[in-house]
Amino acid sequence: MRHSIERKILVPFLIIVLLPSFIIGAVSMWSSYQSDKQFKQATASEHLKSLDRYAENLANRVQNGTMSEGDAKALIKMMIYETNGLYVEDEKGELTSDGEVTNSAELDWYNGEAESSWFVERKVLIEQLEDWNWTLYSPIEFSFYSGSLPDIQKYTLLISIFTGIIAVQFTIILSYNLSKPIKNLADFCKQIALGGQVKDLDIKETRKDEIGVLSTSLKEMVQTLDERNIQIDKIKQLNETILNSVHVGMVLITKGSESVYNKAAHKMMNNDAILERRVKQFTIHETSKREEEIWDHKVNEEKVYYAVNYMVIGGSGKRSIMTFEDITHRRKLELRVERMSRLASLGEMASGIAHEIRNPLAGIKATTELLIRRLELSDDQLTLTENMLLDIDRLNKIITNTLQFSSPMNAAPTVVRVDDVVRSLFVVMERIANEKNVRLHQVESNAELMVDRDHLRQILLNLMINGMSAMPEGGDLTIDCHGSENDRTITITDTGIGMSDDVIEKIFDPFYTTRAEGTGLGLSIVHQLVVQNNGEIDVRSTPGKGTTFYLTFPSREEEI
Amino acid sequence: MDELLYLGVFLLYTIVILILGKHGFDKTDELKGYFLAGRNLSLFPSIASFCATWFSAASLLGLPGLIYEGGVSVLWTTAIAWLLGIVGLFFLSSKLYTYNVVTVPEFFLIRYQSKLLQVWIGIVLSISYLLYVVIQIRGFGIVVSEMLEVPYMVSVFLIYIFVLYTTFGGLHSVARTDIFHFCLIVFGTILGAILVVNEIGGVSRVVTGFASFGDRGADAYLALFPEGGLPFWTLLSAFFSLGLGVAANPQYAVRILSSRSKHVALKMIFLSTFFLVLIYFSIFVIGIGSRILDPDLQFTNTDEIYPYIITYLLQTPWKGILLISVVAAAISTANSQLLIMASSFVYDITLPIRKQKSHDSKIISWTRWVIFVFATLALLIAFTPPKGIVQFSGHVWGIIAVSLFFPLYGGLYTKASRKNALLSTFGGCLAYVLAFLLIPKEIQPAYHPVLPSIVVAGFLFFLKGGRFNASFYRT
Repeated sequence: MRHSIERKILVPFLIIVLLPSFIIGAVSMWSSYQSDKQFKQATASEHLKSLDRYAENLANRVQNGTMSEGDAKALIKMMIYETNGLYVEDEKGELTSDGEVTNSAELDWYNGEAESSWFVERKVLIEQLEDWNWTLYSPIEFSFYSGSLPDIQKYTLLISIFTGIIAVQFTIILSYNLSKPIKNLADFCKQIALGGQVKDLDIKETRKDEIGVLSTSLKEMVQTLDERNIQIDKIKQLNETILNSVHVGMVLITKGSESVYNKAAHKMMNNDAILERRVKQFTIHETSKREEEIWDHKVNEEKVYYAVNYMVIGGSGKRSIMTFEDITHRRKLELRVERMSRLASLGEMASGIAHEIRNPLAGIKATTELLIRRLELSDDQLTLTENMLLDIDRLNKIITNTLQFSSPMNAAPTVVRVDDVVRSLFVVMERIANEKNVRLHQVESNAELMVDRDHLRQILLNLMINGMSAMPEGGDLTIDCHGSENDRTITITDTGIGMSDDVIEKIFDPFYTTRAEGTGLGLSIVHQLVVQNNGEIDVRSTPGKGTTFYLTFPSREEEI
Repeated sequence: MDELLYLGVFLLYTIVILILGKHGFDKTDELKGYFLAGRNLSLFPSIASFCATWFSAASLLGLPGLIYEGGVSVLWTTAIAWLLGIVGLFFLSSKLYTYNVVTVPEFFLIRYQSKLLQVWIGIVLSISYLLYVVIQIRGFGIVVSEMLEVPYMVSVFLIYIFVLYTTFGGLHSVARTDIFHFCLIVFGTILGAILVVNEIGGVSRVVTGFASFGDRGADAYLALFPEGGLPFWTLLSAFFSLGLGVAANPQYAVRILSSRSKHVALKMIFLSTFFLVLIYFSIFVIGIGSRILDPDLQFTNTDEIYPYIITYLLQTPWKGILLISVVAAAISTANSQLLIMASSFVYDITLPIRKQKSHDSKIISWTRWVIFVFATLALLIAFTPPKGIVQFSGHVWGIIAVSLFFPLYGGLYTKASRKNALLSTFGGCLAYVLAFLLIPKEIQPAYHPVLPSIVVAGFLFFLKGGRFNASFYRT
């Protein structure tokens, strides 16, 4: 209210309406007071003059001898005493009033000490009765609140108050009515500023003055604003839908304020604490060129890959956008294709070499056997040649395996119960396992797969041998199977020495082995068999803790 | 000198009222804000407004005069009859508050689903209060014109502009100015009692002064019951016309509805009773004391006794406060009645008939015009009041009692039907008119028309529904 427009209208208007009323009242009072004063003064003065004339007449009569001086004086004094408050000082200096002698020292007005104040005006009228050498004193007091003035001016005061009240009330009502639409407009604008639901503006639409124009314009403005807001909301909603529907994580990084993430970014970061940390710590270099990086790290023993893009937007360097996409699956596929391509090349090369070696080797073997039969060899020589034959056989076996690896192996998938296969393999491997102090565990699952039974046996056998080899001090080897609606995953877990990431990358390469007696073809063959049975193979390993192979095969025929 | 003193006090009063009344203008954008102060009045403003509305100029001027004339036993047919009505208000407050209504006639629309009843009660209130406002203006005009020695027309115009101004701001303005009026009434009556006792020469002189009661002995004057006892029918008439009139008076129902909560409404009535008793006691002291001061005053109208005492028997500048307390009582009652009158006319008569929805601000603006028209009409009537209007004013509470009492209280406490409510209010009013015409004027103070008509209204209300079918609400 203190700074309201109503007060700004009200106060000056009140002054304007009250001031004339007050001035008229005051002037009226003043003029009445003045006329009353003049009237009183003139009456008193006239009275003194009449006494003077009367004294002069009596003095003439005394001079003519028609009246004694004593009688004349007595008559004059009698006349003077009849007037209340009138003083006479005779030739002896004696001051009397109402027939009584008065001590002049007690009279303020006589000694010149009586002064007028704000509310009371004092005056002394003096008349000399020269014939008698007397002086008449008539002290008069005038005030606003005594005497007849209040009676005379009562109506003036009343009318002043009356008109003042009406004027004030009209001013209050007028200023209220004048300021009301402005207040309404201000409230309306406040509501717009707050951005909430805007109430209807309570101003007549028929109003044609400036307020009417302002109100109409505001209403139109709000209407336009609402329409635009609706459009902006729609676009915003669409953008948000798009941003939140994409699988790519997006981050808007603004210097000095919180970064904004889309739903995919939140989801990925919630599932991957390392990614969250890396994203939040990431500093974008000031470049308007799009930069690309591949981030990889392990989550729950599994390696994950992200394709990260970022660039500064807007040119000011304050805002940047960053996207990241989980490319683990894609990357694995790429690695698989890469591995398969490498295996195929190696297979072709090995097959070529094997063919080239096999024929001369057969000649060497035949010649060696012929020499044994034809030559008379001592026992030592015979042992040496027999060793030659053994090595030739060994070489031949390697060549056979290599040719087996390189030649296409046709798979005939059928429904296979995993538990049966694993159980039969455990029977076969039990003795070796006992020798190596390995405990075999089978977790029954009743799972069925669409896979070539022989291929599965070979895969599992190879992986079991591999696992047992990784546990020179013994340990546990567990085969389990679980899966989703369409897929089944067999896990072969050992508690062996484990592998580093570098080793894991190469284990499916032909002839790669960490063991001196190994051929380096076992896992290559496993990989090839898995691929030929429409399966996938994955491996997770922690050095010192053990390794797990994941074999995923379809569970139904139609999925093949 | 006295006129100057009165004018000075009057000027101060004017300034305060102008400032206080102004605030209501800012809070009147909604109907509930305008008619019921947003139903948000706290305890003290509620008490102040209740008490200030309770005392009219007639109470403050008439009661000391009646006690002066008739002695203590006058209390039975005045203060005690009025205070009995407050018992009804206790019952009213707990139930009525739960209704989400803007005006009292709207309660009848919601409770009985009867637009006819709403419009009818609106008409009864508009006419009754118009007459009562005329009486207020007239009574006040006579007193002020005598005290300030100004023409009657000038003094009635004064109250007119005050009442108009304080009502324009709605109940917010009325309640705010009522706080000031309440303080003036309490202070004025207590001060009046003290000044009168002081003028007599203290409490001991009051006791000894009883002996000077003219031709009537002190025993008879001070007796709670007059010689031979109070006529039964006079007492019953006073109770039915005044007590039930108060109990069904929408002025108090509005104060209940405007309270912040049901709890505040109940407390308001409870605490107000204390203030009412205190003020009545002060008025009682003034009446008795005036008799001791001058036992031989002879006036044609008892209303003139208290102003005479103030003007001629009390020699103190404080008497300006006593005069202004009478002004406060007149204006606080008149503006409240004017607001109810206008709200009844606009909200309960014209809006239901027009059947057109209007914006709140439009209705408020329209109500202000109606206030202006009604106040001006009351002023014009007060300039030259038709013969008999003063006598007729004695029937206002009776008409309100027969029209509203049963539909209001019965509506809250029984399952009475719309038909019974309509029968009761129309039948009661008709019976009242007949009784008014048939009962000789001389015996009407004892055999008031309210006696047969309230019985008729009650009978018609319970005729088929309600009590006879044992269908009182279980509370």
